[in-house]
Amino acid sequence: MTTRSDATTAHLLRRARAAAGLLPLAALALAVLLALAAPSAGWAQAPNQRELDERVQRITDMLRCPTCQGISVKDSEASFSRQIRDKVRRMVEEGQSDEDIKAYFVSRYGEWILRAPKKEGLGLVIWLAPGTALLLAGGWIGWRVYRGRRHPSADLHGAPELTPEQRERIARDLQRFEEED
Amino acid sequence: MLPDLGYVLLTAALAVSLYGVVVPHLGVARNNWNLVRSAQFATIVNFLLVLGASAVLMRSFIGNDFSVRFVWENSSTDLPLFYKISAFWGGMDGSLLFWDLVLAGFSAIVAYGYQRSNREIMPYVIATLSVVHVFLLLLLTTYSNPLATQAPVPLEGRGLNPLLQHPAMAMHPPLLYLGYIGFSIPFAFAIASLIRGKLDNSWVISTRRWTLGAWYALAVGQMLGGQWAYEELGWGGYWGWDPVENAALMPWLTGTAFLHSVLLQEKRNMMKVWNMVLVIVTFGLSIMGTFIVRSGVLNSVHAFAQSEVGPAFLVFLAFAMTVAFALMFKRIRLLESRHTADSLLSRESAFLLNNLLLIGICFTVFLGTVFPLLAEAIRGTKLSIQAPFFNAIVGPLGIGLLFLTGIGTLIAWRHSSWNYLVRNFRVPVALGVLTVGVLLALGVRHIGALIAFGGAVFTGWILVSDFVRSVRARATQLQVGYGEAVVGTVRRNQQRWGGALIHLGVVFLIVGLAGNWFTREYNLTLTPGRPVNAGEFQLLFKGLRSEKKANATLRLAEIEVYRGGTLVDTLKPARSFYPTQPEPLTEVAIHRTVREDLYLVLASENEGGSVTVRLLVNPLVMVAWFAFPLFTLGTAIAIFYRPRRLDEPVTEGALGYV
Amino acid sequence: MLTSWKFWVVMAAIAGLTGLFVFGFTVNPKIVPSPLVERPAPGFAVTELNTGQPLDLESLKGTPFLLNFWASWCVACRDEARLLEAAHRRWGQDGKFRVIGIAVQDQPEEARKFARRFGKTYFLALDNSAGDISLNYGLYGVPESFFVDAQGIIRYKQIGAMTEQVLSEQIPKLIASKEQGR
Repeated sequence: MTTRSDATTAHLLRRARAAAGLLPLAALALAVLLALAAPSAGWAQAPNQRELDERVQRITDMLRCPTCQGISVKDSEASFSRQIRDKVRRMVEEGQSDEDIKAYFVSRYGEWILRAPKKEGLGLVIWLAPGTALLLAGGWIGWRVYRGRRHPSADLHGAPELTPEQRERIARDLQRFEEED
Repeated sequence: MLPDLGYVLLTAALAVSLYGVVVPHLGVARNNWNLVRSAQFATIVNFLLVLGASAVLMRSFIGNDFSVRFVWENSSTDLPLFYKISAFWGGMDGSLLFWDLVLAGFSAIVAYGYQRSNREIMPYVIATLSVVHVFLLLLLTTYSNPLATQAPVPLEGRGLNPLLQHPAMAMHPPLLYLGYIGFSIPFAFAIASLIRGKLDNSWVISTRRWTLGAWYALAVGQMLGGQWAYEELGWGGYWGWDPVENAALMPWLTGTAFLHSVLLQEKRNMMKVWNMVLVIVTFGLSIMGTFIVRSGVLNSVHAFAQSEVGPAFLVFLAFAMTVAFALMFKRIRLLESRHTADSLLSRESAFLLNNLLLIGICFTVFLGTVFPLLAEAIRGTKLSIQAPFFNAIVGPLGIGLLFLTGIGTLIAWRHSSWNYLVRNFRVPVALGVLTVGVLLALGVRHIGALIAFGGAVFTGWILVSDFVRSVRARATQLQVGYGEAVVGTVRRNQQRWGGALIHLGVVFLIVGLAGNWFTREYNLTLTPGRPVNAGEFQLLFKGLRSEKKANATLRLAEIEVYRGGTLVDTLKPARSFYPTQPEPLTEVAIHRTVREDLYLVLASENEGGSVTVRLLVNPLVMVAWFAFPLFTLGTAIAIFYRPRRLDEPVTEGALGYV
Repeated sequence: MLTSWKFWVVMAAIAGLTGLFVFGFTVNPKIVPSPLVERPAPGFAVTELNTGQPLDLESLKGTPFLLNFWASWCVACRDEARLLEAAHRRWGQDGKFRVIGIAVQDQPEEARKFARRFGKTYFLALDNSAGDISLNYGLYGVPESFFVDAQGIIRYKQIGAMTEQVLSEQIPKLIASKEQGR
């Protein structure tokens, strides 16, 4: 005769085996699903051309379209953006570096033309601010939790511990309560 | 004549709202419950008056009454009926009327629906909501009157900007407003509790469904906005970190944090001050959001003309925040609890981390939105902060939240032993690592994507297996079929499973967003009849033609897209030339599959008959959209429940409450 | 409550944010100051629209000038067209000052038509289709105008249509600079 705990254990084991059995199948399904999402190989352009294109895309993605809201030169079809794209392409083909090209546009349009501030001076402050704030806040919370866990918390927060006399009194009262029934 | 009547109704509503601000306080002070009841009734009167004014405006739109200036500015006789109706809330004045109408409806519901459960604070709830009404109605009867008339009456209206004639854009403002207004209800309850000094958990519990509904409305409203941007603006993305987008995102983030941390308050009596802060800040961000959209202070896609409404919103925002926080500090003794989480490895800590990450994201977005203005104030030069900044910082935080969603689902309250953690997280971690391995083997090298996909599998598995486990247990225990077990399991704890569905939606959303890392872009010049290669695709340009559409001329290019020799689709990107717009609008052609979107933009027609196109291959965009049905179903399950009957046994681990 | 430092931090934050937004009302997000002001004007070389006469920055050394970027398709340029022509007639006749107009993203015939319609008699030229000169001057809209002194330094940039006030303020200063430079 199986006891109740035997039945529970057997049941649990069956569940575990069932879950384990699913594992390879699930993994395969996931792999297939994600394989479908993985980027496919690009067409073999002349590697230089591909590199140049990528550089132009990278640079123009860092410059804001001066006549649009929020969009980069890369994404915009506005006339000024197209001219800037062509100019960037020419500069890349001349062999100028990413930094030089960006610096050129900054010298003409101001820092405003960059989509994110340079990581120096005031710009550095804003780049570091969120991370710093998070670390500080996280540290403070973590410290408070860590400190708090030393003292076992009562469910009724702030309720004092019972003294031995109080415990005795409670025991006596309970006793009397049961007897009076 | 009728518009003037509508205006009178608005003025009357203003008077009634003033009544609603003052009389509840009087009633309580004089212990005259009849006065309070009259204020209750006033909420219904207010709603009817505003409804009347709204009906007048709607009728003016449908009837093409161009004597009403607002109708003339936003509509025309040839506008489809659907857009005439949506023009009501599309323009600024009408949107304020819409806001007040919905708020009036909610106020009336709240005034009568909670009169027994929250009797003590109800007068103050009515008074607080009435203050918002007074603000809106003051604007509606002065600077921002949607029923203002003009003479002589023009024969034709100015029409709606063709960019806005899109179903998603028609529904986007009302949903966002429903969200903002929905969050006003917990805010009003919170303020009322502070005024009254009744600071138990009842305000949190009573308003939970409002919070959830408002969260959903903001989420879907933003998704619709993204969909519109994707289909109409033609730059290839759906979220641009525009100040106006950020303005709607921030209250949603704090609202999400609030939704989670109130559970800590209910369950463990923690975070009472923090929840107060969150609900006040959420309301404040909603007002600030509207301020940013309407004032023109921050450069934005939405940039409405600088109007007088901006300063009014700023004054109201400063006023509301000052009073709300002053009240909070006044009552802070009644709120503070020295109780913190028991252990670093506990669900309490997970909730704290959840809040930390969400507020971290909100802070980043806020900083990025406001910093250019701050820099200009300090240094006098203009700075831009756009997508590269936001993506770089919010991305990792979002992925952290992805993992946390999974961890938080399994980790125990109070304290989790190492054994417990290992036992429960063994399988999901293994699956996550396996996923990363598979992706590496397939050639994926992008670190962020590897972590994101691994995290998606990790969390997705936890959510699904958690549910499956519970269903199995129920089926076995009660000897019922799986169908019945599913229904029973969900019914037993709708909060928990609704939440799980929403979390699953978040997983899909993040997977979809991660697809952005793999976007490929091709700029091509196509000549008719000659195929051009773009990655694994070939494009064949068939020709250009002109089409007439309503009030625009389209120049349409027919382009066949092949992959490996088989035709995938014939895409017809176009450019629309409207007589009122100097530059043509892009009409993007999109071919959507789960795996990727083919996004084709007609950039220009060149001399000699060739065209320049921009092809974007955007992976996994549809996957992000799977979040929408999951959010909807999850929210519905979590909101529409009946409290557990007393004779039902309690399941271990349920988040149940009475 | 009034003694709690946290309370005052919150109040200060509200006040600060409000103050920042009030500041926001005083600035125009569409006007971006140019880094080229107080810097040497970038070089350019053009030919006149009607006569084909060449002109480059070098040859302007020693003469202050107003470089105006415009286009035939630009609505605001119509507002300023007559003002610029008037400035040319008033100050540009004896070689002490030059007014130069460069049309951007424009076609020669359209530009000529526009010039005829508004009676422009000063030096007019066309930027090439790549927009080299526009980009070199950090243009992001039309019209934009640069006031350059006799030493070739840009002294002022006008964004948007020119006004009478700006012309009468800036040009005499530039002409005086030429005299001082000698």
